[in-house]
Amino acid sequence: MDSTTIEEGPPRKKVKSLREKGADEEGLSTLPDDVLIKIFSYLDLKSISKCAMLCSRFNNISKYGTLYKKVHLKYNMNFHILKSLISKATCPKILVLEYMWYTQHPYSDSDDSEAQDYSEFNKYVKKFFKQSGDQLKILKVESCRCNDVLLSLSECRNLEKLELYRCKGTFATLPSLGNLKSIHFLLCDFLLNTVVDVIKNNGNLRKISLADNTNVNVDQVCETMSQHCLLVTSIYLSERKKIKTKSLKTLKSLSNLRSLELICISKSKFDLEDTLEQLAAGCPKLQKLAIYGWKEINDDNFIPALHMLTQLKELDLKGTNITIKSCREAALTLPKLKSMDVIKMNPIKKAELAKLQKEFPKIDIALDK
Amino acid sequence: MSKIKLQSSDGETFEVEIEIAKCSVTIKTMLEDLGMDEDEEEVVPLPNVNSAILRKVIQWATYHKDDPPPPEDDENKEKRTDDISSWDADFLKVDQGTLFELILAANYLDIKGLLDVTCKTVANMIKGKAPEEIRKTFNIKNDFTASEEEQVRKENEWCEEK
Repeated sequence: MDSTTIEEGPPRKKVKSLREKGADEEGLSTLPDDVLIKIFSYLDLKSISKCAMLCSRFNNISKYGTLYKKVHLKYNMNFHILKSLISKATCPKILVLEYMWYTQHPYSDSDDSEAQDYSEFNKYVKKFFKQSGDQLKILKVESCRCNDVLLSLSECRNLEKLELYRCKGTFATLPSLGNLKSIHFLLCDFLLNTVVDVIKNNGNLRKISLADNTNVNVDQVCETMSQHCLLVTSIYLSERKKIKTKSLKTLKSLSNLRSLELICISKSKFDLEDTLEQLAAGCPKLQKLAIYGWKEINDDNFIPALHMLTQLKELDLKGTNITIKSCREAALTLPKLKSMDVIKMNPIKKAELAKLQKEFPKIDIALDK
Repeated sequence: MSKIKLQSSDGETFEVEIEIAKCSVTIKTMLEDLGMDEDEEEVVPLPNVNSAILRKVIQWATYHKDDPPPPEDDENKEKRTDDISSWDADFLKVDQGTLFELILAANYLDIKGLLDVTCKTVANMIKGKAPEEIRKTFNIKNDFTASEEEQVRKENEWCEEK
């Protein structure tokens, strides 16, 4: 298709270029720098680089730091790209740092992954952190196992959102970050206490999401959050470890909590009714409650708490022992309830839920096992 | 509804509702600084905008007079260029010269909404094109020396990879 356009092109282009020669003074080049920067700010990095090749003025404008708010560094980038990108991005806001995807189990100590030579890439990453890490607000690191790089995360002292995915290291300097509002750690290999220390030092945390990491003690996490992070609005804990009712109970101090998701294997029945009740009373803004796999939760200990969750929109209790009685109670008493998902791994029968769905068509009730 | 008169660089005057004229921060500030009374028959001179462009600007401002003020640029948000309304897209089906003059006018008059949408339009004309195509589209002269060009090519050649 391209070749036909070009073949048809020449006659028309000639006319156009003649006409445009006269209008040269009205071209893109006559726009002032601040307008060109604005136009460039709507372009992706590739398009900016293309413009940089056109003339010296565009090339200068392409080096304007604020154009590089979002930087994506990948281990397989070539040397020139890295160098030029890093020299231009003087005030980045967002950085995505991506190493090779590890196919083996993240916890394995196999050395295969280390065979990859990242030394050159790591050198630039560390340089970048040093040069402009303090400008970063959002950082996402994927599959990094270079301890040096992970240690230099502490250069990003103004970071507000940190996502770590499949990373492994000592993270010795991580707790020195103190402006975090959101953390999302998935499949990472931490040392004992690292995550708790991070939470302790970041009293402004709003969102905490921890899933399938090593060495994260959920009881300590809960207790630390409820003492140090009173602004937390969203908690997602999926460490697949036992959580004590005592620790769960401490969350009642988080009065701003809007979303609580726990994926746990708990056998604890002790004090459960009081815990759930106090939790519901302490977190009156709760809109989403999801507790998976806590078999000891049943109608008797859940219904008293249920009545207090007046703002609840989503209820997700897979793998508990509540029956249709709790479901009916929820549908009847929670005015804002929009969705209910209780069917998986529960003793509830599909027919009972289908009947409830008919009675309460406005609530979205999951019916598939 | 009170009106004011705007005078273009080539001497034509346009009568415009004050509220519409005030979408230009430049005009708004001018009126405030001059302390112009609304019933005064004052003419606001706009020496940087010709009548053809001023007519277009007024047409745009009139259509958008009830729009909420455009949001401040959010630094962390990805900038989109695919959200131009169909009215604006039609309005901007003009030749390049007019488009650039509209940009200059929006910049001088400080009308954020118009500047946003015109800059987006130009960005869309750049996106997806090869460097030579961009050069041709906008008639941009290559002023690099041979060694500079070599350096620039090295730095930016990755953008030509698929």
